[in-house]
Amino acid sequence: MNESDLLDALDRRAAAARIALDRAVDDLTVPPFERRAAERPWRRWTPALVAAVVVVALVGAALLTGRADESGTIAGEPETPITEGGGDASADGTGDLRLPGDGDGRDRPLAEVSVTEDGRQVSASLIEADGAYELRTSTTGPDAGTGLLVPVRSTSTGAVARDLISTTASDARGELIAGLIGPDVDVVDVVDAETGEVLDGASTATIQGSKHVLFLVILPLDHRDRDLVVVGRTTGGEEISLPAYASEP
Amino acid sequence: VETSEREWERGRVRRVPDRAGAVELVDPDCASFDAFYRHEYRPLLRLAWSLTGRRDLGEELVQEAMISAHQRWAKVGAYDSPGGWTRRVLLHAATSAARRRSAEERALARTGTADDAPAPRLPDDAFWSHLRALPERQAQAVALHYLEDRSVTEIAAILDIAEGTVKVHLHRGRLALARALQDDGGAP
Repeated sequence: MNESDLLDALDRRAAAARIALDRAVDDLTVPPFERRAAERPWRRWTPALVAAVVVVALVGAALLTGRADESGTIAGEPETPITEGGGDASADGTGDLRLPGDGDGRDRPLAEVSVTEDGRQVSASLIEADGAYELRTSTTGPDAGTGLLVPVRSTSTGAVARDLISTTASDARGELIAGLIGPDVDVVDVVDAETGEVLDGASTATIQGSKHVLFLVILPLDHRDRDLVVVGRTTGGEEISLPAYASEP
Repeated sequence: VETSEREWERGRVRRVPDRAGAVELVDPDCASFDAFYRHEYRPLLRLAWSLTGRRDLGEELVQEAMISAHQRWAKVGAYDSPGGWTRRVLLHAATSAARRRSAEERALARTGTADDAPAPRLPDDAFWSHLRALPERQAQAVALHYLEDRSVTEIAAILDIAEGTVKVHLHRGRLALARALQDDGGAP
């Protein structure tokens, strides 16, 4: 059968398949649209959020004032050093993800890393909030906004996302991959799972008190169709990999 | 990361006649969101079901795309083709879902458990499963071509790629699909 005949036969087969699918779909009842689910979360939660922010601000101000009096510093807070460009493999730790923090209930960035591209800056932060940990991304510039919020460890269950976590998101301009990898990793690349091609190196930041690093990379949209893997290389030359998708506790 | 509506707007679908030049295939008068929802639900479900192979997942993706459209309806509703915009959101969501599902299946395979939840069977799934086996862009272009009679111009606008690229995807996709079906059963 030549190519033309083959395609003609395909067209006929496709028409039959479409008719069968049309019948199946036409038999279904169109469900009502869930308007409540479609409400923008910030609209639904605005009153509660405003109240929460006011309460947190008042309590926070009271706490900070009290601590400043005790320690003699402005905020009474220990500084959390943030470094970029490489992991600290010398920190103590085991194979599990261990994060610092005493669960004192305040948002505190444990590490932050950012990438600037085409006039916008995309940042990923590891935040301690109320004793739990979240991976948070935000964008400044033309597409400003806060994006991913991925729980890393739940205080209620104590579950830890093993030793690895990664998540992706994309918009019309690129794909963001952010996460935590370790232990002892100091170089992070995003690799095509099928070909092994290294697509881009990620920016990394150390997490104080942990052997894991926070990483962030922005890829062009033409990588979107690929099966991507995040590969971390340890100082000992070992490779640690994780698929570039959300992994939650 | 919040998707920029300006970016979507640039790739919106223009009103174009179909290949026969007689029938307007892109959105009819869907002035209100409710009318748009009722008009587009089934075509979107057909597209999502064929590309995912699962009706339940297809329904979720349609709701997800419709929620995005509803949240921006003041803007999306004014487009020449809200349906084109919604299809792009749907296909994007399907891509993410396929990636998640692939990872889930690998995890299930590792743990030796099977996802045995019963799912409504896709009619003529032999055809659609071969379509889903195509590279993603080819599968989407071929699905839009066969399921919705979309022209190359419309497919290019929905997928946000050049018309020449759509032609290549369609040719390669259709040929690969025909050969796969031929190998499977003797003739497409």
